[in-house]
Amino acid sequence: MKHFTYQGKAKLILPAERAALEGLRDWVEEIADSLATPLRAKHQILIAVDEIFTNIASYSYAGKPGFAGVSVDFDEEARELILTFEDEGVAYNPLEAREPDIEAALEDREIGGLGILMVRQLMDSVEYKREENRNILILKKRTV
Amino acid sequence: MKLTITRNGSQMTGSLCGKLDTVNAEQFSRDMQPLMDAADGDIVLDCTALDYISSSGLRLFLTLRKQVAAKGGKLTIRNLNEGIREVFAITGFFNLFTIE
Repeated sequence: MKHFTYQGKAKLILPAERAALEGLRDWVEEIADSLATPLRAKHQILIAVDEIFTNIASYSYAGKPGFAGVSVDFDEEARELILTFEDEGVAYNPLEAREPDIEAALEDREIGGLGILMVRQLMDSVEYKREENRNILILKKRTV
Repeated sequence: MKLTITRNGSQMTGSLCGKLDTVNAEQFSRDMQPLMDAADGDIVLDCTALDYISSSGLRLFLTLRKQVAAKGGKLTIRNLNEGIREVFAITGFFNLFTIE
C-alpha cells in the first residue's frame, strides 16, 4: 500500500491530564500509520509519547489545571517524524534528570527515571528549550 | 490491553495482549491481582501478544517481581518481542527477571 503523503504540521492542544493520553496516543498512531512507519519504530514513538505526556500531566502544573501542545511534523526527505511537546508549567529539563541506577539489585530498584531514559535511547534525538514561560521538548525519530 | 490468566497444575500463566502503557496500567494492575495473590507459586508471564510496554507497565512487572521475591515464588517471562527486549536491555530489566 502506498503511504499517504503527510504534509505540513498537525497540532493538538490538550488538557495536561492523564485522561487525555489515550486520544493523543491514538492520534499519533494514526499519523504514524499514514506514513507507513514500521511497527517497531511506531511502538518506540508511542512509548515516547506516553512517557513525555505522562510527565507533563503529572508534574508540569503541580496539580493545577493547564494545557499541553503537541505537534507532529514529518521531514519527507529524511523520513523523520518530529514530535514537539510544549507546556507552560514549571521549568523542567528532563535531559538533566538524574539517571536511574539500572544495575541496582531488585530490592533497591526504583522505577523513577526509566521513562526518560527510554525516550533518550529510543529516539534519534531529544532537545529541550525553555522559551519565555514554555518548556519545549523536540523528539526526532526516523520512520524507516 | 487484555490479560488472560490460566492455571495449569501448580503453574499460573498470565497472557498479555496489546499495549501495556499508562492508558492501560491501572486496569492491568487490577487484572493482575490473582497473580500477586499467587506470588508464592510458579508464575509465567506470556508476552507473545504484547505489542510494547512503557515505564508504567515496567513498574507493574517490577511490583510483581518484588512480590514474588518476598513470597518465595518463581516468575518467568516468556516470548518478548524484539522491541520489548530492547526496552528490557535499556532499563536493566534483564538482570531482574528470568526470561525465556
